[in-house]
Amino acid sequence: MVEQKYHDYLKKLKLEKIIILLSQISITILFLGLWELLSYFHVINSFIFSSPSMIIKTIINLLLQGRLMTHILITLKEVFMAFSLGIMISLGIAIMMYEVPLLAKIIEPFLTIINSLPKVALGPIIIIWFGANELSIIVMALLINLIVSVLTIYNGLKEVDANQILLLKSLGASRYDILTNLVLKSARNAIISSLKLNISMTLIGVIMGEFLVSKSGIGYLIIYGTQIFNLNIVMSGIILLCFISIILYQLILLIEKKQIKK
Amino acid sequence: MNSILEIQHLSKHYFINKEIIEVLKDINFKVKDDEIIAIVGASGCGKSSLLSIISNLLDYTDGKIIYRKPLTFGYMFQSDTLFPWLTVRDNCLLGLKITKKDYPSKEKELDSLLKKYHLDAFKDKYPHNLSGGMRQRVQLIRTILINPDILLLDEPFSALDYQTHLYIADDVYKLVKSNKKAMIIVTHDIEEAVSIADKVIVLSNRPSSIIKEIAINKHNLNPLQFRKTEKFLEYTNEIWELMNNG
Ligand SMILES: Nc1ncnc2c1ncn2[C@@H]1O[C@H](COP(=O)(O)OP(=O)(O)O)[C@@H](O)[C@H]1O
Ligand SMILES: [Mg+2]
Repeated sequence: MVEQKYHDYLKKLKLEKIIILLSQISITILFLGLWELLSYFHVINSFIFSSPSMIIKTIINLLLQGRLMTHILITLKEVFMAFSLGIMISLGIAIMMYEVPLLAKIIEPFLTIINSLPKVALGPIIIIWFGANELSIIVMALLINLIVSVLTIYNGLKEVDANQILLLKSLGASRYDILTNLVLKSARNAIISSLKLNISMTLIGVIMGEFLVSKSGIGYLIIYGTQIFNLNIVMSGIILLCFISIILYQLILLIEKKQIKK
Repeated sequence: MNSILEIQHLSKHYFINKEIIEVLKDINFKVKDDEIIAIVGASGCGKSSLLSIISNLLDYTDGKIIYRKPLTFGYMFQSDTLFPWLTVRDNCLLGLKITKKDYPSKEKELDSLLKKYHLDAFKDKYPHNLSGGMRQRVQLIRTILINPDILLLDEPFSALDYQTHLYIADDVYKLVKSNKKAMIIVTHDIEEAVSIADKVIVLSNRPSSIIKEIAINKHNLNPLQFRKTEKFLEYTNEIWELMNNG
């Protein structure tokens, strides 16, 4: 009896998963199919809207010409650098704010103000200050990912249970012991959230930087496509970005799963 | 016998915005090297605050605490302070890890305690898999394992069922006595206090002062045996009266 019910329950869960997945796949196919058909029968202007088959053709062509891989790798390298720098710096600042509450109280309003500023507006200034190069792209991405990460991690650190701190103090723990054995561990969910936020923010920042610097990377490819009015290149760039963003996000989810298992 | 610590004219106030709460008022007592002291008093009278003050975690307003030497404390908090990301085993060993005592040598002691407190099957489980009573026992083991100069236990058996409570209290008593260590146990359970302590300190309601210090002569009986005597009833009745009139 119980086993029968449990079996039914498992079956129901499985069924729901299948329904969700199938629906998502159908929506994607429907969307791509409709897009392809509409442009094939000239209902929409394929010169402006491109089409799935033309995007695939363009991507293959670009790959064969050999420059696409370089653009992808450059963008990935910039994302990787801005992401890891962002995490290290924001972790450092958040820990400092946690350890020196007075400092936190002083700088928190500034962080909030900077955070609400549209950073794109600073783009031109950054180019003037740091030059039209990779450095500017990294700075742009840092500008976008840092503050949110700092605030997310800092709020996570603050959530630590006061009694657990007292417990460690009663054992004679140093501040460093408390930080490593308790505070960082109890904030690991916030730290993982900040990784997730950080990776999407970084991607936005890097592409924005590439738009402005306009030398290489997927962002450049998109701008270049616009300039020569080749919408197939623009769409290809956007689709590639989608894939990159999905893959990067999945990587973070993988880290999360590993952490939770511990 | 020497006293390991002595509290003189201790008072404690909490300041909350514009309010001043007087919690402890002119508290005086001594703790001998190998003495078990129970502090009883109504909820909110300041028992937990007193333990935090003794273990240097909380400031006090006035008075003095004299420690005979720098003491190591084994403080078991009233609230649940297990780390959810550590297994039962690692939670038990946390105190040793922090105090940097070498714990490989303590593995055996840990295993025997886990077995005695019916936790051996849960050694590799995480706290969220445990009942409240089990979690309390894990905290107790963590506190005992560091073998401190003085145990400070804040309502350590409150989540245990009656039977387990009696059994574990008895066990802690024997352990402290055989190691000749000092212990202060805080409780609102008069019977628990009388059965385990050499001396019961009865606190009044807030602002709390000591109504009476009662020496309990158990004639070498352990708590489980002492609970069955006439004398036990007399002591509990006396304290009951004191608390009702205080
Ligand atoms: N951090 C604090 N700030 C303000 N008041 C507190 C604080 N901790 C405890 N109190 C108050 O002090 C009194 C004594 O608390 P406590 O020591 O926990 O008592 P007990 O352990 O005897 O129940 C209570 O009335 C409580 O509300
Ligand atoms: Mg209390």
